[in-house]
Amino acid sequence: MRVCIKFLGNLAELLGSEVCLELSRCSSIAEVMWSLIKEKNVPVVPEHLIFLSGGKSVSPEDSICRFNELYVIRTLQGG
Amino acid sequence: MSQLWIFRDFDKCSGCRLCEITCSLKHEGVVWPEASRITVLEFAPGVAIPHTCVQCYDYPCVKVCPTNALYVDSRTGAVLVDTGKCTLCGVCVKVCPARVPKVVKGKNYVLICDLCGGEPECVKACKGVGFNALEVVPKPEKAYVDPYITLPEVIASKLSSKVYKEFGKEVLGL
Amino acid sequence: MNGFWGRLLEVDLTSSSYKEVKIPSTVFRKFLGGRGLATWLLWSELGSKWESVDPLGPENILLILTGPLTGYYPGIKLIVSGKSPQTNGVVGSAISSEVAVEVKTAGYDGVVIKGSSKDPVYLYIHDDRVEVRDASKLWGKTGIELLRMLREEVRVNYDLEGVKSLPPALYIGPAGENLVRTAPVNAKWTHGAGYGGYGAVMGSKKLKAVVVRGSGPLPKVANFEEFVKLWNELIKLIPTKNYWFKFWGTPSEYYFAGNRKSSEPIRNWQEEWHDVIEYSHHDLETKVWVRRYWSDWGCPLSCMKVSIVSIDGKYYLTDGPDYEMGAYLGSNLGIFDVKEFTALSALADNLGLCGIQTGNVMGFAFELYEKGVLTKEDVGYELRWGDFKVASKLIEDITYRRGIGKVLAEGTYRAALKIAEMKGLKPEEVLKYAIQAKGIGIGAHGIRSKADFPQPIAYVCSVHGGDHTSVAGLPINTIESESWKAFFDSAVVCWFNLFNIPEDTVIKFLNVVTGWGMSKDELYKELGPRILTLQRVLLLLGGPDVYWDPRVHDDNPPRFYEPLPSGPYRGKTGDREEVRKLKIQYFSELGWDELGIPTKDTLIKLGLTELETAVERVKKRLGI
Repeated sequence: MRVCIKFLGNLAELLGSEVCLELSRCSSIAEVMWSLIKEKNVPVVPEHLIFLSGGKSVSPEDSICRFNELYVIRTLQGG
Repeated sequence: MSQLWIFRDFDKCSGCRLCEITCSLKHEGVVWPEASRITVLEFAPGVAIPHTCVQCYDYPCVKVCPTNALYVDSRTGAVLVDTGKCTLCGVCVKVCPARVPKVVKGKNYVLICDLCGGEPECVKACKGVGFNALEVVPKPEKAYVDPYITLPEVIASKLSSKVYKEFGKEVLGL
Repeated sequence: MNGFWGRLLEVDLTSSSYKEVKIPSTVFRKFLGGRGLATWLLWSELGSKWESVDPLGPENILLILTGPLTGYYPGIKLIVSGKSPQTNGVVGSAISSEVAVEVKTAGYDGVVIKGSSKDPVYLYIHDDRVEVRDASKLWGKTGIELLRMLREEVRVNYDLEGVKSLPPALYIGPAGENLVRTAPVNAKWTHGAGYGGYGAVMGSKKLKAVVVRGSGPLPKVANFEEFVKLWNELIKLIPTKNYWFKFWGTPSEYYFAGNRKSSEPIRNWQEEWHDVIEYSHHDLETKVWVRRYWSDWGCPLSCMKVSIVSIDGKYYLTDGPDYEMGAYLGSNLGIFDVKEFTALSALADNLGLCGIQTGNVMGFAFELYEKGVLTKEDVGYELRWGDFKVASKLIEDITYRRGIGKVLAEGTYRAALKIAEMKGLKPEEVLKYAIQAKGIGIGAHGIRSKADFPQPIAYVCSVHGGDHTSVAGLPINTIESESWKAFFDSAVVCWFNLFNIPEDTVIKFLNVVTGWGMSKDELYKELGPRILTLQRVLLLLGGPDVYWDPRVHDDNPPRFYEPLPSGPYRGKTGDREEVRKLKIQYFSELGWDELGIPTKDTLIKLGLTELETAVERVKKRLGI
């Protein structure tokens, strides 16, 4: 199972504009994000991410195997 | 089964007024904070008092109503208004020691909390959002209810001293 | 009409008269309320002579506007607008104030204030009762004092229940009265509509305050059952999805932005990274917070906290401080002590100063002093980084336009030009220390590390200049673009209550309230670009004192092209070539040419053909 995750905005700078993963197991989107963020040690809070597929928003608890393409965007923070 | 009562934890009220919104949605079918039977009065930053009927044991408002428009729901203990009998004379407003009953432009009867028939909406909203300043409890003993029969600014004064310590009075500026 | 009235209250301070103005629902459909409506109204009334309208003169119009989602979507914001004394364009400046609901329950979608008064006045609105009242005793009063006097005014003159609570009011402090160009419009002790400088506009109209009480219901919504269901879901969903933000508020950024994202202003942005762990939300909580949750109207998120500090027997009260206030009056001045920047934040609130703009111009002044451009003779005392007493003094000097404060009160951009003139220097030699875009000091989120949210073109392409709450970005049809910000500033919804809520949910909420069938496509392809295009044209019309040239001013401040000197992103910086390419791409996707001038086709597509002559005026001025 292969999924390509496109990171938008400055997330692309931190995590790569596109990251394609060969999945051996079906974890949640949230879990996959967590590992990516920890691996790269970037200042991204997983709870601040919104996920889109086919123009519709998708829950982070959904299984990543459901999608072959996913867009990730950071909800702005700070005021 | 005992009558019920809305417990207020003034320490926890954030002043969000979601209780006012939901009360008016329930009773008026529209967002109408002025017509809410619970009013949050903010006297200073962080000193917000959710103010509503405490169902005094001696029900002075009911006693004094000249047209017998006010009566007590024996099941919940709430003060109910017979909308057909209320003439908006305003006597209950004057006699209430806590200034609770509301006369609102556009309503032809006085507004007093009716405890939503037993499941107060304000409590649901306050819990839903997570501030938990309101809770439904069995109606307490008279000695526990009486201290709540007071003007909101009196409670604000105590809360202000607690929150602001030596600056309590100065910040409140009343 | 569902969700709004289609009705504004127009007050003329010159003649002390008022009237009701009807706004067709088609206008709300095309522009929503708030920022969009403000821009359309200002264009309609002043567009033909825009360049000559002095923002601090009687011709300017002050707008206080709600939107179709005001009072329905959880949380609250109110838009204050007019011709901006800072950008000479239009800024939709947002403030958290229950005045938004009071205006709407009084029966209006907003208040339009024209002309100016000879003597200080305040406006009192209670449903259909509108009075322009004498404010001579209120003039000169600072925030807290003023609110108490307003409470007495309202209590003594009008018989109101619960009268000892604070009246819902917008007001200005001494800074606005003294036409400090960056002065905000204040509310509720510590809130402000900062970006845009509309406090100075109120001051120029001698308008000290606007007190509003509404006793009616809000307008009906299109689908009541759906609305109640969605509302109940959202008041639970918003806090659940933003647990950390609710608990810690924006103060969680002090250490996060500074240490991890490397995007916090330090000593006039000379650095953006620090490792001072005591400069954080934990220290704020233990040393200055007294209330964790201090909500605004209808808000389930309650990001603001109440802080109090005691110095020399006096108390200083503020909220948070909100990250922006604290960063700008803290690390940007080299002050890392939480008690000190909390006190400075409280000072700014009370004097009616914008924490961001004031911290920005102070950092600018401190660096000029450090570099020897400003001397002790110019200032009257030494401007030392990290010196709380010096910072307090300078804040007061700016408020009262004393000494160098007189120049700094003009905002960083104009102060830079003035100082260059004073010192016989070329403007660029001083502007290189000015961290601003189009007259607005840049919000406390830098672009160099690319680890925070603002993209390289964030402030370059924004129609609000340095406004961090309205940054531009790509892709153009996502929340990264300025179209999303134009949307929520016009629906009028608090940005924070949108965090982690999908756009679809928000648009659905709008449709449930208004009965419209707005789609995400329409938002990003029509509504957003329409509002931004109108704002862009007015921004480029500019005048009377300052005009923007896209070839020069659609850019980052010079400092953002200097490499970061420290931290994990050391060496990173803005890339001029990258900025140039992204800017052109962004403009093109919005339907503007390479100079960011809306094309004729775009004007036609967006229903803005009336702007054609204005675009010609812009081109003529630029000599193209």
